[in-house]
Amino acid sequence: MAATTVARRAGMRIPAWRADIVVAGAAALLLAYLTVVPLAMLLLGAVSASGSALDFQFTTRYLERVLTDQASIELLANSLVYAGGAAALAFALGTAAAWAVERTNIPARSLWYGLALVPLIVPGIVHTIAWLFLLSPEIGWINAPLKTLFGFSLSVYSLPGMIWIEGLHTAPLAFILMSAAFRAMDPSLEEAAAASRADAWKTFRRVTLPLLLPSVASVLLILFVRALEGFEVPAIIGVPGRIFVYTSRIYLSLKLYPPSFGLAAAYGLVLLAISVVGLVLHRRATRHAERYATVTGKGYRPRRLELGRFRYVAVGALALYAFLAVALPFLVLLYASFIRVYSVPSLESLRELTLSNYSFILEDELTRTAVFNSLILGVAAATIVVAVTAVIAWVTVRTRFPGRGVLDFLAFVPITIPGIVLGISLIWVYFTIPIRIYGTLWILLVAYVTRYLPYGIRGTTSALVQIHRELEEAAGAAGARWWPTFRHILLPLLRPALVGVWIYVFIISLRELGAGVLLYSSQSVVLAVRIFDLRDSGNYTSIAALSVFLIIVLVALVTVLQRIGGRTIREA
Amino acid sequence: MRRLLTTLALGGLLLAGCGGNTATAPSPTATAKPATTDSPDAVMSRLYEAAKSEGKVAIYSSMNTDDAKKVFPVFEAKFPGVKVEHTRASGEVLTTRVVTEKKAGQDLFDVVESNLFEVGYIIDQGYTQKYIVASAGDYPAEVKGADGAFIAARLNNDIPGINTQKLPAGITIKTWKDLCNPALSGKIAVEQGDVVVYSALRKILGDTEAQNVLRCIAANKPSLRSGHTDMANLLAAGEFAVTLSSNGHRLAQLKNEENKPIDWGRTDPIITDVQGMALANKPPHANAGKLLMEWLTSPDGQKAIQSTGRVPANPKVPPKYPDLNNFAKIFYVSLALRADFDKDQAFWNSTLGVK
Repeated sequence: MAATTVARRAGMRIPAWRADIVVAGAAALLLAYLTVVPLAMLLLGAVSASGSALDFQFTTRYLERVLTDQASIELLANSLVYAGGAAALAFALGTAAAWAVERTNIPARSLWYGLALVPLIVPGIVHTIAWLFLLSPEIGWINAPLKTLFGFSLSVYSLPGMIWIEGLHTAPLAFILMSAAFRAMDPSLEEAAAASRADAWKTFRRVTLPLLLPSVASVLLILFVRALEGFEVPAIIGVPGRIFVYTSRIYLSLKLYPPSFGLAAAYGLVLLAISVVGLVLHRRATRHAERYATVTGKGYRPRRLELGRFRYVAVGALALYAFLAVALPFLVLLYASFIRVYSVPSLESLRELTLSNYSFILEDELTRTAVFNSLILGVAAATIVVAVTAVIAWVTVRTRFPGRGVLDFLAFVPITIPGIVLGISLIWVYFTIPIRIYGTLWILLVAYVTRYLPYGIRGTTSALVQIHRELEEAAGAAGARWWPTFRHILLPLLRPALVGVWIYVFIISLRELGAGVLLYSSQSVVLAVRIFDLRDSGNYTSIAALSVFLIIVLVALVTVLQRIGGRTIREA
Repeated sequence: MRRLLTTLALGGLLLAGCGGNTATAPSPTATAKPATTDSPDAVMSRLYEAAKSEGKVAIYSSMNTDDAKKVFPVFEAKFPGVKVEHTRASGEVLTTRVVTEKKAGQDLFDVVESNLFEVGYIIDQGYTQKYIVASAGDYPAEVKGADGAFIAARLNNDIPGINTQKLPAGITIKTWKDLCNPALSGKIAVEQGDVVVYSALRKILGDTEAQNVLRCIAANKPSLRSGHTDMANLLAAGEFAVTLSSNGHRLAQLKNEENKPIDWGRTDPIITDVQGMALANKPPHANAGKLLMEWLTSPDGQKAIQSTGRVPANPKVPPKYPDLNNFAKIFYVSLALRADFDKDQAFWNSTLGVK
């Protein structure tokens, strides 16, 4: 009834079979399949004495241990400080770079855009290893001269070290999302404020900030949860430094003898609870999203701020960021890729330069298979996520479908499930139901789509709330039905966001580790798992060669995608 | 969980026979005899004929891919048409994988091969079957289970690793207690999952002394690492001066093949982690699985393992680097060591700060 009323109010013709309900119902079923079932397995695992849903015996001992553990306060504090710090750093860096690139007359904008994206392409484990070799107390490129010249070194094995590495790595995500937000803003509102003699600070506080609020809330939430559920930095940096967060606890729970699935699931539930709090806060921050609609039927072109001589300061700041986030890690990887066993650069090591690491990765059948599989999965996952989340975003933002809040929640929830826990859950799911896809690329595709739904839904929802209904109302008044309206009005307007989501999901698919590490077989090995395997074998120099190779190939690929995306955005 | 582990431990005690002992010269034993009196070559020939139609063998093994590339291609060359599908993961991850698959009724692997504690757990769950290889008589009792429950094709020596350039002057590492020297504070690394080393030290040194040693090592604020090869490589790079226990073969590779400033502590005895290998209870490629086990334990297979620098389990095939295990008695890690695993792990975690 409500949906019909709203749709009529929007001027859309309601066919007898109620397109909105059919679409919403199909979306609900798909989301239930992708998220409720694994979550149910997670819950069952947390209260199953046997650690398996297939051999269920109820217990509360894992939850009791997680909630009453003496170290639980420290764990919570570490997790919040780490995730909050990394999110704040990534947001600050990403937003500053996005603002400079999108809203100022800074030179070489496309160059900065490309450089800012490079850390996003590099798998987290590679980025972490690169910084390990830059900031290791004894063998770090940065610490070695510091120790020689000043007698002190920076400890990478610390919370600030973890925050720095994670924040630097996820800053490009903030950059992409905030760039889209800056692009979508109607500058006439700021111009109106300026015309009313509001100073720059007042304009920012009263106009710019409220306009950006939905995007800011979404981006901060995504960054926070991303840091909270990632496990490369906590495992490689945190554990040696005895700084434990939830994910490293989960990781260690699975490394117990025998592995404790129940404990891992119980910690996963705590992560889920923290993220649910984040979701509630996000919804509160964006509940009046319509007030911030900035894309209307009016044409506009964002105004760029003239920086004057500060252009060079901005260029210097961006160059420093690019050096720290791109050049320095790349250089250390490049160096490592030409030596057999990692060592501090010296005349001796330079005399022993070798191409053997490149030979290894080019000749290695598993690595070739992993690259091929990752590319297939990346394209498939990105396409499915974009298609599914565009529809779900429409249901949650544009309809009064009774369960739309639940849909939004379900599409978001997977972000809170650590990849490795999702992996275990999916094994149980697909071993329980008679669909034999374990050990194939299909189960990895399901895992990837499930994991990346939240990124898709946040990206498309944020974009959709900024598109006023008046355009759809106009289409409806002209007699258009749901699909033509969705296809010809909404999709073109959403295209920049959808392209952004596609590129992002494609890239993060290439580096996915947590979900894949328990789901792969030798035939379905993927890139990050291959890197993990090489790292597990201590084969850093081969990882470095693979990373250098990947960075070069992927930067070229992303450049092409970026050009297509840019054209798409201009067309839109 | 405690009850489960107790059951496991008891099962392990029964399985282990005489594990956890030290031996100056491992002697072949005839306790586990193959089901046939055919020669290993004859057995492999028969199995190969049957394995051709199976086409491949799926092995879940912790052997790293670098070493696997030196071993499995030799098998494939000898037995054309039987491809080795190697799924590589750490012992913990392999255990997780096997247990989950089997609980769901999936039978995807033919052979599992990893640290004895993990393989012992898989055996205890009933996910393997007994199979006595034709060469079993050549192997000492310490590296094989009773009645063919498992057999090792390779051994890992857990010995203190040393970076000779980073080791402070005047310090020598000959006993585990030497790692307590305050001069090593902040210069030592420990693999966080090495509870087995502490369990072994309890047997070697006695409970009180082993606890004291671990406590004083902890006082040196060790860096907790994950992965032995990773830790050995960082040791070679100079990130720390010593490790509590590194895989001997990797230290030898770094010293002899990479010319790194690496050495190892000549402890007495040498803690040796048996890498158990067992046949799946329902192998999808049963003949190929048996064939691979036969070959890995045959002289040819042992020579392939020897070529990697690892220590072959057959004492008739010496390691490529003899100074890895010729300086003291061998202490074989056994399933019996799991009897107090809960207690050992709790002490290990609380002492070293593994949370």
